[in-house]
Amino acid sequence: MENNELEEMKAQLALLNEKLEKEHIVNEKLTKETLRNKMRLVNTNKYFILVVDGLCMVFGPALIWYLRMYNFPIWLGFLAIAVTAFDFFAQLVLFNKLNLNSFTNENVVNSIKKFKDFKKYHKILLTFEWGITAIAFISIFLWASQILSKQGLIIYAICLALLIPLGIWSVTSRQKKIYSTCDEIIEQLEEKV
Amino acid sequence: MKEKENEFTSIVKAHKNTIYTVCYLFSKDNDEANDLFQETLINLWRGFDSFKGQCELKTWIWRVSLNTCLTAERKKKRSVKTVPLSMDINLFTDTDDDTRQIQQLYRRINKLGVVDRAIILLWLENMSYEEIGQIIGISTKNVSVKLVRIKEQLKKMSNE
Repeated sequence: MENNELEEMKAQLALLNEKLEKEHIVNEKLTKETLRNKMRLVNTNKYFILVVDGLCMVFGPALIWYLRMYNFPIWLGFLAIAVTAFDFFAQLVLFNKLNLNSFTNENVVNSIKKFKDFKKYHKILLTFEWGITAIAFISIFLWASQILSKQGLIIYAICLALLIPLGIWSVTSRQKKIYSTCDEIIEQLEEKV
Repeated sequence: MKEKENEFTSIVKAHKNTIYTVCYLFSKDNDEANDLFQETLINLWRGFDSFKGQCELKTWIWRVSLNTCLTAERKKKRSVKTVPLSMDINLFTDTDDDTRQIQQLYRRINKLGVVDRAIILLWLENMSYEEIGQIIGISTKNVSVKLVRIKEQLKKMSNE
């Protein structure tokens, strides 16, 4: 092959590179794939919350029935089950409103609004539940102080001191993950607008 | 996750010319080029975690791009797609002088078999025989033999 033809082909390839250099990529399919990966994370957390709530609703009554022997306040037991059931259904409604499986086909502006609303209402739900939980723990402590000896009360207080931070960390770290993923999704969607 | 995405995005931006050049030279029309481009990006994303620097990044990008194009299946019925992508460019129908030159390159290279197309493209990009061999998966000696034949073929076609 003549050298000048090869050189011509190289020059044509250089022209192609020059032309492409000026272009930008917008890849909807790739963006959707990364968004779907993030949604899987949110979905996993959703199922975890619902399963834990479900188990509490199933085993909670049995535990309360057992604790009845120790004069455990029934009203407190019902409150715990009621709050758990409320949490279960509220979380289910919130996550379903988000409609995780179809958002990638939706209007971007609607999707952004859905995620922002989800975060807002989820925070309100949690704030309400933390309040109820604080009342419940105080009530349980007061009940325990009536039935346990001084030593038993100390052991109980130590257990609470260990379990409460663990519980708080478990809930808040999970919520943080969901919210930060929502923020990433909102950011990614806002780039498309 | 965010860091990984940012890293991937900057790698794709840096190598988009390479990826799109391969897709363009292995397509028959603009839709096909865009489809291959998307598929390549998705394959790069999926393989991103397992790419641990076993070879140069440039080599990996070439390899994935070429493999995607070489193994792409042609759909019999093209489904109606929403507009997903672009490099807002149509090298198949644009008529400016630069594009005509590029189309001439396309016509020459497209007369070759798919593997030969890959080899000549890599050679035109000033890759060494060793690099070409690594990307295609053949020996360096085989690369030099094939290149001689490809050049003869191209010369024969240009004389016709």
